[in-house]
Amino acid sequence: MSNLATAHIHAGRPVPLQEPRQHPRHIEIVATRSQRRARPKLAYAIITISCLFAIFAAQLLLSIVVSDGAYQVSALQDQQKDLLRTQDALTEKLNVLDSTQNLSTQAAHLGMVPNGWPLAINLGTGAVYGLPGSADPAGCGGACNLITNSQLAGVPLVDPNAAATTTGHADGAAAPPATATQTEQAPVDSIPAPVTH
Amino acid sequence: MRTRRSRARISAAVVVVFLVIAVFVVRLVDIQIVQADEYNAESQDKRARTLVTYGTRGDIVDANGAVLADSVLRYDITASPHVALTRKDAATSVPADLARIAAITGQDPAAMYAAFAADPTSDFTYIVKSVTLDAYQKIDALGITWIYPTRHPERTYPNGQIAGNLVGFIGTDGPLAGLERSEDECLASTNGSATYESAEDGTQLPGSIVTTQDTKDGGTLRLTIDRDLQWYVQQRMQQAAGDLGATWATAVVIRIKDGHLMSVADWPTVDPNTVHDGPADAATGSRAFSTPYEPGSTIKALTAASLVDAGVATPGSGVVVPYSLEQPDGSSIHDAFYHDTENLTLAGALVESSNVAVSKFSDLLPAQQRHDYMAAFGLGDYTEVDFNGESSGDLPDADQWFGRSNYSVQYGQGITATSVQMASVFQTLGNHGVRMPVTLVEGCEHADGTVTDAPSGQGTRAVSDSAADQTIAMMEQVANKSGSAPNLQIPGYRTAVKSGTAEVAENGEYGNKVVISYAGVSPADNPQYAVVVTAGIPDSVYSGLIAPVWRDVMAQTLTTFRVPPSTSPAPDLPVYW
Repeated sequence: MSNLATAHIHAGRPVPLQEPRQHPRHIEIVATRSQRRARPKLAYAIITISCLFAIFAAQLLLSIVVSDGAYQVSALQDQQKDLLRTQDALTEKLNVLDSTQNLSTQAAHLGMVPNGWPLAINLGTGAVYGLPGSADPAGCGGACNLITNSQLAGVPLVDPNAAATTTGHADGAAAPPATATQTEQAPVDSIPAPVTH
Repeated sequence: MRTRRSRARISAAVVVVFLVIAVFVVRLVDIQIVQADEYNAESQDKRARTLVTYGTRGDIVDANGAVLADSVLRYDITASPHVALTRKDAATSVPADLARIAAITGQDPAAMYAAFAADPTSDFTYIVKSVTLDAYQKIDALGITWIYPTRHPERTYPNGQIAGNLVGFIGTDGPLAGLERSEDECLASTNGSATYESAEDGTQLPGSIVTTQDTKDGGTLRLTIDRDLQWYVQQRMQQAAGDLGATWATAVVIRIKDGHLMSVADWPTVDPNTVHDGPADAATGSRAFSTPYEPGSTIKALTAASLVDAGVATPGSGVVVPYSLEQPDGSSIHDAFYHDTENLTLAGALVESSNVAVSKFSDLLPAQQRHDYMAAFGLGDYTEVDFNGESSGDLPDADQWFGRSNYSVQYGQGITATSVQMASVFQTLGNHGVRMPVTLVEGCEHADGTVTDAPSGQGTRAVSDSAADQTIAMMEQVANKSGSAPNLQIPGYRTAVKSGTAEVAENGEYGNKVVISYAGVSPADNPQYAVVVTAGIPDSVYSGLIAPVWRDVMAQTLTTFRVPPSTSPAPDLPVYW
C-alpha cells in the first residue's frame, strides 16, 4: 500500500534528476560472463610484451653469438691456413734433408762407406753369393758429391758425438735392463752380426 | 553534416595514404625488381673484392714417392719508397728497419738502402724477393708498418741435379724443359676465384667468402725412376766421363719385364734450381733421349738375334774371317784389331766383335728382312715415352743399303739410335724377344684418386724366345771370354754384354772420334735389368775402358733391387770352329 501512496504523491511532477542515483543498485548494466571473459586482461599484455622483449633479446644474443662464431671461424680458418703453410714449409725442408746427396754426405761424415757389390746368403744352405769387394769403390767414402744440390746450401753436417750422446741418454734413461735382456736372449742360431763401425 | 565532412576527410586521408604507399611500392618494385641487377652489381662493386685462389702445381715423384719437384710458397717484400721516405723520422728509421730486414735475409744494408732510396718518388719497389716462410715470419715479426708482403708460388727441386735432365724446369712464362713441359697437362693447376665483402677499412667480413670458381690442383706425376739409383748412376757416369776425358756420357737402366726406366743418366747434367743462373748453353735436355749416335758393335747382338730367329744361323754356325773384306766398290770392311784369318762361330763373332764375321753372316739374310728386325726392336722410331725433344734416330730404308753400308748397318754404323732406344733393344733380348713399351711415367695421380697416363703394358714380339735366349747365351760368352771379361764380373751373378766402339762421322767422314759403350743384361739366367752405358768422344778409342762402369752400374742396380743371384753356371759356347 504505501507504494501506491507514494506514487500518488509524486504524480504530476517531474521526477527529480537525482532520483536514479538514489537507487543505483536497482538497475545496473552487468556484463555477461562471456563479455567478462572477452575483456582484455593485463596479465596477457604483460606476457605478450615480455615475450616480445625476450624474443628481441634472444635474437640479439643469437646474432652476437653467430657473428662471434663467424669471427671465430674466420680466425680458425686463418690459423688453419697458417698451419698448412707451416706444414708445407716443413715438408719442403724435409724433402731437402731427405735428398740422396744429403743422406750420402751425412752417412759418409758418420764414417759409413758403401759396399760396391751385391751380397746374398742362402739361409737354407748357408751358401754365400758374391764376394765382399773393396768397400768404397768410388774412392771418396761415398761422398764424392759430384751430383750437386744447390738446395743443400747451409744444411749443417750432423755431429756424430751429439747423436751418440743422445742415444746413450735415451737408452740409459729408458730401459737399460731391456737391452741387457735382449742381448742375453738372442737366439743361438741367429746370424752373428759382424762388428762394423 | 558533421558526419559527412568527417567521412570526406577520412576518404581524403585514405587516398593520400594510398598514394604515398603506391609511390613507395612503385619505388620498391623499381629498386627490387626493375633495377635490381644494376644496384646489386653496384653494391657488389663497392663491398665485394675478388680474390684469386691459387691451385698448386703437382709434384713430380720417383717410383718410391721421393719428391723430385715440388711447389712451394715464396714471399716478396715490397714497399713504396715515396710513402716510407716521407714519414717523419724516415731518415733514421728507414735505414734502421732495412738493416733489421737485411740481418734476416743476409743482404747488404747499405746497398739495400741505396737501391731503396734511388727513386724516392717511386711507389713500388722490391726490398727482397722470394724469401721462405721462415724469413717472412721473422720479417713480419719486426712490425715494420711500411712494407707489404706478397705471396707467390714457386717450384723447387729438392734433389738438385738428380734426374735434373729428366724433370726439366719452369721459366717465368711456363714450363720450359723435360717432364715439366711434356707432362704439363698432368701437372698444371687451375687457379680459381672467390669474392668476399670488405668493411669500410678494407677488412674482410668474416663468413663472406663466396667461391666463384673452384681451384684445381695439378696431379702428382709418378716416374719409374729410382732416385737413389739415379744418383749413383749419374755420379758413376760423371766419374767415368772425367776418367775417360769424354765430352758427354749417358747411362740407361731399364727393367726387363715391363720396359720401365729405372735410371736415365746424362752428363753433363743440370740442377733445375739454378738453371736460370747458369750459362745459356747448359745441357738442359736429356741427351739419352734427344741425341742419337751411331751405336756401333752393340748392334751386333741384335744382328745375331735376327739371324737366329730367321733360322739362317745358330750360335755354333761358322764363317771364315779374314782381317779385311774388300768390297766391289773398292772400299773395305775390316776388324778393329789386326788378326790372321780365323774360323769364328756366330758366338765368336760377338766375342771378337768382328765386323767381317758379322758382314759375312749378314749375307745370309736379305736387307729388307734385316731392316724389319731392326724396326721391330724399335730403331728408327720414337719410343713410347715421347720425351720433350726426343729423337727417333735414323734407320734408313733397306733400298738405301748398298755396298759397304749394307753390312755396316749390322755392326752399328750408318744408323743412329739414342741410348734409350739401345736400352730397349737389350730389354727385348732379355725379355725373351718381347719388346715392352719404354716407360718413364708410371702415371698421373689426381686429387680424386684417379690415375691417368698409366702405361699400356702391351708388348710386341720382335724375335722368338729361343732366338733371344740364344743371343743372351752368346752375350754371356762376351762377358766371360772377351778381353774385358775380368772387368765385367759381378760375383754371384751371370752377366751378358756386348761392347761397342763406333766411329763418329764429321762432315761426312769418319775421323778418330768415337763413342764407346757397353750394353747388357743380368742375371743372364733370368734377366731382370738391362744397362747401357755410353761415353762420347773419349781420349781413348778402346771400349774396354767403360766395361768397369757397366759392371758398377749393373752391380748397384742388382743391389738396389735385391735381385737374387744366379743359380746355374753360364753355358760354354765355342768361339771357333
